[in-house]
Amino acid sequence: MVSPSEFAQQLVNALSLGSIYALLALGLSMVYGVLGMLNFAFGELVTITAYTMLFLANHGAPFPVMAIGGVFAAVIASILMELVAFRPLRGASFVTLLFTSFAVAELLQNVFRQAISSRPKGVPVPSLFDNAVRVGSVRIGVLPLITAGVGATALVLLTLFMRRSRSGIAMRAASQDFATARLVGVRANRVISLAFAISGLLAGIAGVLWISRTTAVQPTTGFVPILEAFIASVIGGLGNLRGAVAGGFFLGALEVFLQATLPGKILPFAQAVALLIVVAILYVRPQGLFGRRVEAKV
Amino acid sequence: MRRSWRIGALLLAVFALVAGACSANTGSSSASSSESSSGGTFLIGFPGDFSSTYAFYDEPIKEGAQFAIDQINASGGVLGNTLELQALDNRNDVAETSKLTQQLLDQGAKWLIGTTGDGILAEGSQACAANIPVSTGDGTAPTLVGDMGPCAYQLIMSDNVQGATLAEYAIKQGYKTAYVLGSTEIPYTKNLPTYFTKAFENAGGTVTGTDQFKIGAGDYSAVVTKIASADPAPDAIFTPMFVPDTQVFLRQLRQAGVTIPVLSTDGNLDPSLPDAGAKALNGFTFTASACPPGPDNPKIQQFYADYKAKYGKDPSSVIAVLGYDEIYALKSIIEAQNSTDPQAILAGLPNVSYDGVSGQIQMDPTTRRAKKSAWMVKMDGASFTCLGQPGYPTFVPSA
Repeated sequence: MVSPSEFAQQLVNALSLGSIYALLALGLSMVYGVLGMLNFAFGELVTITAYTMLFLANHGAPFPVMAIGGVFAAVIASILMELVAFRPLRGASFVTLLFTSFAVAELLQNVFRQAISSRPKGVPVPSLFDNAVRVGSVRIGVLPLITAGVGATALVLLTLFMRRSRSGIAMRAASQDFATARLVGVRANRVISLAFAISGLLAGIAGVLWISRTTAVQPTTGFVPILEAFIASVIGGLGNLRGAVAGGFFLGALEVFLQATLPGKILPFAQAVALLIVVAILYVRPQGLFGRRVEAKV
Repeated sequence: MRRSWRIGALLLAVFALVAGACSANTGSSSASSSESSSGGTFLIGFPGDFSSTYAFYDEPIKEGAQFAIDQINASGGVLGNTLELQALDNRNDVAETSKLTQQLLDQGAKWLIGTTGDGILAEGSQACAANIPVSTGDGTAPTLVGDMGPCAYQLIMSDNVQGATLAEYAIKQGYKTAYVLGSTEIPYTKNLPTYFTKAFENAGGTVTGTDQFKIGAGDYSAVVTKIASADPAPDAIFTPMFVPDTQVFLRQLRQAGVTIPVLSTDGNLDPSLPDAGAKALNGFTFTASACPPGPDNPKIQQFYADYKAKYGKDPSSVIAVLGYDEIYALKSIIEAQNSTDPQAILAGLPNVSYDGVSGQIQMDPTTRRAKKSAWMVKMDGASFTCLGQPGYPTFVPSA
């Protein structure tokens, strides 16, 4: 039986984890919404963020510079990914683009292995992140607080950008109906590049928060983030930005509370139970929690 | 036209990268090669993972083995034979491991070093089918030799030994209760909690709580909250978690205000560990196959000095001493049997007794596993400190 204080503590854990998943799911959904493609090389943007942070740390950069540099590298890498790998295949089938993204992910992982190392490399983070504050019976770590704060700020700013700016409105129009949006003057290349740039930005921010937790990077660092982002996006409704955020928080809460409440013998199956719950949701709402009922990408 | 040019350029770039990777792959194999083991050459094969998940372990094994071979050859070889290492990259692919093992056997390999990768059982079964001795390399699972075949031997510390060593250490520290955290995902994280629990309970300790973690999850806050809420709080936590997960777990544990000592195993002796910070690491204690170099372990310190003098750099990890010891143990068998014939080596293996850099290798002929003691490492702040080898445990759970 979970006590009230333990429940409150687990709720804080769920919010902190959920905010990272929300950022990741949003980044993945951003590109899917515009192009109708799943970019499975998205996780490698997190890895690029981490290796950039490591590179800057090795050159004596303070943590804020490492973080900004890591995010910047993810944005540039995301734009380049679109230009080099996906733009030449514009208009190709969903499966072709999906396999292209697998190929990019595999290629980047092998480059990391050959050029850097297959071993985990430590990334130094400020000791401040290991402090905690007590609120009543709940102890909240500084890092989870920063994670939730940065996550919430990024989501609010992105919402404002998407609602108020001309580019944001163009992107929303493109995610509703790309063909019609182009007919009314939305420039395809610009919108797609912007979608990849924002996707990279979100991967970069989530990457900094992820590495601040793990303090280490290896070639496969991006695997868990892309997996969680994909599941969260599907829960929320692929391509639906609001749904991606909700899916991220839902998945964070699901993982934390299953771990907290499942009996010992079932615990090894926690991941399977989580996926079964996702399947049950999709059975009832095949389009996800916020997805549109009829979707046909052309 | 423009689009097809771009696709062509993309394919060309992919081809160039793949070709580069292939050439790097070829370069990872040992320098001098020969077509046959005859003519005074004793071929040692190592179909290891040098570019994927387990390169972390196989690469230093290769470095240590090559160092020993260079030293032995420089002093005249073994019984007039020159040793030669053929280390080929299996990329942690079972089919590739099988292919490379056959290739090495066809080339006349008389000894195989086991990969830590997924292809270890394939390697073992092929070696045994050809009656060629094979080691478990850096594989610590005590069940390996049985699964690989009758020609397989474990020359390093086994997991049941490190579990028992930690249990004895816990009892000596006065810990009466323990919380055990494992994972059923791989044999290492599944079996070590069992070995620790059996030894701890045999010595009078009580396991008051158990839980599961997910390898590579990147977040252990839910488990940490359960441990923090455990009533009564355990005296110690045991987990076979390894880097980079350990850093996440320990930081979240200390952030939650839990100061209970944590005991763990050899997957934590890694240069990336100290970046978790002194606050999280201080007091963290784990077993290892060898200690990091330091004044308390002069043999390992000397190994590092000699290695650096020869190659101008340190080995990629202390695991290199295990590869080094394996080759010298092999040399001692060949000399004792006065033969380089694989059958003579197999006959000598059950009796091998060799005092290596990483400790005494004393083979148990019934289990085909060396009765080798674990080392203990404790974090002093964010620095590794060697507690030495506490000796072979009085009770070791069966595999």
